[in-house]
Amino acid sequence: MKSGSYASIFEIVLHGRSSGKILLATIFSFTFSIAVILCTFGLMDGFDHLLKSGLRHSSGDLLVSNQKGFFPLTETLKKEINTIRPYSMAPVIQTEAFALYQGKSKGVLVRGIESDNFSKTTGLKVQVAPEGIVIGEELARQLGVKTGDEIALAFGRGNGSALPSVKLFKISGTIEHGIYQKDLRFVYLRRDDLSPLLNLNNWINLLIVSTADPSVQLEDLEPIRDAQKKLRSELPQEFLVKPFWSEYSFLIEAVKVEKFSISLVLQLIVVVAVFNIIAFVIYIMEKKAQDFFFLRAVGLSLKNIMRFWLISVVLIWLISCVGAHLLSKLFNYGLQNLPFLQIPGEIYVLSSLQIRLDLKAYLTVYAVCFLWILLAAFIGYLRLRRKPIIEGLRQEFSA
Amino acid sequence: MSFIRLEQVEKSFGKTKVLRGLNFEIKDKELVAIRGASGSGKSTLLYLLGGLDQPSTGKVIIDNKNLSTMGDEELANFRNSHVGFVFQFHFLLPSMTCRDNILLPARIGGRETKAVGKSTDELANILGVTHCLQKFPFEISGGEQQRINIIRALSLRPKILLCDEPTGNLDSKNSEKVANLLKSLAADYGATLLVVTHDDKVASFFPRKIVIEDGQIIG
Repeated sequence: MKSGSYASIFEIVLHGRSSGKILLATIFSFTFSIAVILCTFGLMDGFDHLLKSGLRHSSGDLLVSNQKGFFPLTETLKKEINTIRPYSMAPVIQTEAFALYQGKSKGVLVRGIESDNFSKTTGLKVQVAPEGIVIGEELARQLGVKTGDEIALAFGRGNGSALPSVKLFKISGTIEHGIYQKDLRFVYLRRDDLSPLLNLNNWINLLIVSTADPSVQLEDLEPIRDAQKKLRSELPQEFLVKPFWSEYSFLIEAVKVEKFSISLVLQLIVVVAVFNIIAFVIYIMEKKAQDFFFLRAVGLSLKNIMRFWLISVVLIWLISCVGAHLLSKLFNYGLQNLPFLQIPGEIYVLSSLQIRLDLKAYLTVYAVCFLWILLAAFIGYLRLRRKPIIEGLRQEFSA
Repeated sequence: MSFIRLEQVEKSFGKTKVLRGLNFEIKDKELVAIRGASGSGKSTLLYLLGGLDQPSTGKVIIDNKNLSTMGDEELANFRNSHVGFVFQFHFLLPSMTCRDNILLPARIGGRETKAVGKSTDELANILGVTHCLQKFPFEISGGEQQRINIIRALSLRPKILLCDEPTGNLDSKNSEKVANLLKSLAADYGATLLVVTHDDKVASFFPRKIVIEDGQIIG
């Protein structure tokens, strides 16, 4: 059978306004179903990716702390850490405080850092001026402050006193971590400014270690897990070594489980769309039964009809896949640019989301949909096969 | 030597026996009318001869090919290459022009449509329907549709031309015209012609008649 005869059959199938409309509706419903699955997968992968990169962007790869609290960064400790050949490390003092500005107050997490090595270790560009602070963007928005304003930080423990110590700092900049809660809570100042305030004598309570250049995106977390295990074995027992995702590990695990369970649930949407395709096939079989039987009478075999249906459903699938891809891109654009599609950061940790789909996700979704659509083609074929030619012709004669 | 041979052919639909032990032979290029009343089994016989259906028992042998043992693909090829059907209700597809309707069997059979198109033009000219070729079926009269139907049946120069009540909708004058036209075209194309009819007068136009009653040949 030549392509011209396929075109003839298509012409027969699509003849009449209702057939064309039903076909369009079928394609649209399948497109929409695939797009929903793609967007859901993409949102979950995007969430996972943004969360991990956001966390890594402010936490480095490994967080070393001590059960006793503060500890000195000794040469021995440095030597032990160097066994994992870190890319860099940044000593940090991390403590809680209140940020106060014109009657407003917010509980914040203050980090005393050395700007250069903190930036190198975490990839977060934080340049803190002497006696200045850099605050998260969301915190600045909620307090209503801008660069150049002065805010007071009240620390729970004073310098050798039971009273809180309060100090004014000039805001030298704001910073975005990519994680809403960090943007709302984090305040950076120079370690040299924070240490005397807390009377720490240059001790620290957190050491951030990066195993690789933080600007290079991590595809695999395994090297970090290995480095964590190795460092854990090198350091004395009192030290704790956690990977950067530990603070949100429950979320990452939850996303994994959700992705699996939602992918099962979303099959229902595909099944509904496949029912539409089956309905279209049955509708065509019934409405164009006489045409098909006439085609059979003049030499079209069942095998060629099956081939026609296969080509048809594969075309529906192909058009739907392309359509779904475009719809997911459109949704992603909306997600990035339309305010009403922004998600509430207070609930979802990240202040904005993006759809992130890799080839594997596309192939998985498209392959599953392809299997479903093959089933639709097969059901159509079975219906046709059940009806002998003679029955269709008798219908024609009785017309 | 016979071109068509039926050996003990029976056909049942469920418990209903429609054809009962048919045996006959038809020579190559013979012009035959199969006459019978409604429900006598004449159309069923025609479908068996056209490879549209298969007998429950017995053999249908055409051009030394046993249709009873052929698979669907083989039968489809046989219908395309050996058989031309002329149906009572013309059955021209409304989505296509008359020319495309005529070329449809050629397209399905993967044949070169250019040559078929040329013979179509010639036959359309003979039958006086050249002006209909670019029109859609609903734009032409019933008589013109009938002639387009005949051109389509002959488009691939079939060895057998099977006509099911081709004069069913016509008055006696036009019935005779159509019968004569079919006879002359079958002779021109070297095809064996089998016309199913319930009308004695139409049957009388053909040199050989097979009379069927209750699924059996009675004359």
